[in-house]
Amino acid sequence: MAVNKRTFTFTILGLLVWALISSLVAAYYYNAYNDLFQKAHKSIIYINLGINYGNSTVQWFNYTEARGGDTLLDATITMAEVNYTTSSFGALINSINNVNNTSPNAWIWWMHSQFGWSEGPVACDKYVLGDNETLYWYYEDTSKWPYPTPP
Amino acid sequence: MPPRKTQQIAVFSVLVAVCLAIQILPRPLGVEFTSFLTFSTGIIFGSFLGASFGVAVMIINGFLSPWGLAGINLPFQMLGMGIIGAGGGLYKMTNGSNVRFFGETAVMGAFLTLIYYMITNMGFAINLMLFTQFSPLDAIIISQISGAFVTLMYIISNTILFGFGVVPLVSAIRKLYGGEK
Repeated sequence: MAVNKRTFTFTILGLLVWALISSLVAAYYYNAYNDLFQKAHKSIIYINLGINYGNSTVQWFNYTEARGGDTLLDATITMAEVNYTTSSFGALINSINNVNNTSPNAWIWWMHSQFGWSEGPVACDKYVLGDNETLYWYYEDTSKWPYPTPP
Repeated sequence: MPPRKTQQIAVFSVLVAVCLAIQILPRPLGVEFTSFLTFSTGIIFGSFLGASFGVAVMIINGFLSPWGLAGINLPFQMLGMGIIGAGGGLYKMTNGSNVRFFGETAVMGAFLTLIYYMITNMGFAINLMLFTQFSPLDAIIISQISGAFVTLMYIISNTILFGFGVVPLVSAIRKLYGGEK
């Protein structure tokens, strides 16, 4: 049966999209699985957590114990009084130790690596902690972009 | 009856306004209407105006979006949306059967959305290169992989939207004033 050239072209285009996106999603899940496995295979981990209230007051919880698989929100709740709301995007922190989000100031979380500080890539309840990680809550002015990095 | 050119400008302006309004309104994650309207505009007005439509909407959105300034991603968003608009113009309507046409627009939606997100992920790659010490190749691979899930969500929603929405929208607007000859 002869296949119409136009139909053939669009079928190939559709298969190309399918192949590319399948490969990318497979790589994404492979990466996510490896990352999660590295972080959660220990039952007890230790983290450093800083809380900067935006008025030069910084509280540090160094070498603090957390359970493997805990999220940043879990760890923060054990160290401070946290008020948050959840949505499809994840948890939004409303206040930490009674310091409330007041526009334009808001609680933003940061992580430290060999490259310096980088803004948290996901909501705090989606981020699974890794051993020896240093994380930071910064109450800061969010009207400027990019947000100011922790001092 | 107003002159044809005036009708075209009016319809084009309404489409830009509708697109910007929808862009600013809250919507579910993984669903957007800009590429659908840009592609349809490309079919109706031709490649040049389709691309201009996409670029213009992304420039305005880059500054007015409730998500904040687009920053370094803006030129990539403009390029990506411009390609979608131009793609609409290149595709154009044919006299094939409706079933094939619906299938074709769905495939075009998936393909152009993939292209758009691969281009805009390059903006993220540049961020990675600027703010970390990743090599350009590593930054490109990481940005494409980390954006894969979001890309998939938009491909699915745009495949449905293009498949079911483009034909009725283009037909309705063409009935209104005729479109590009």
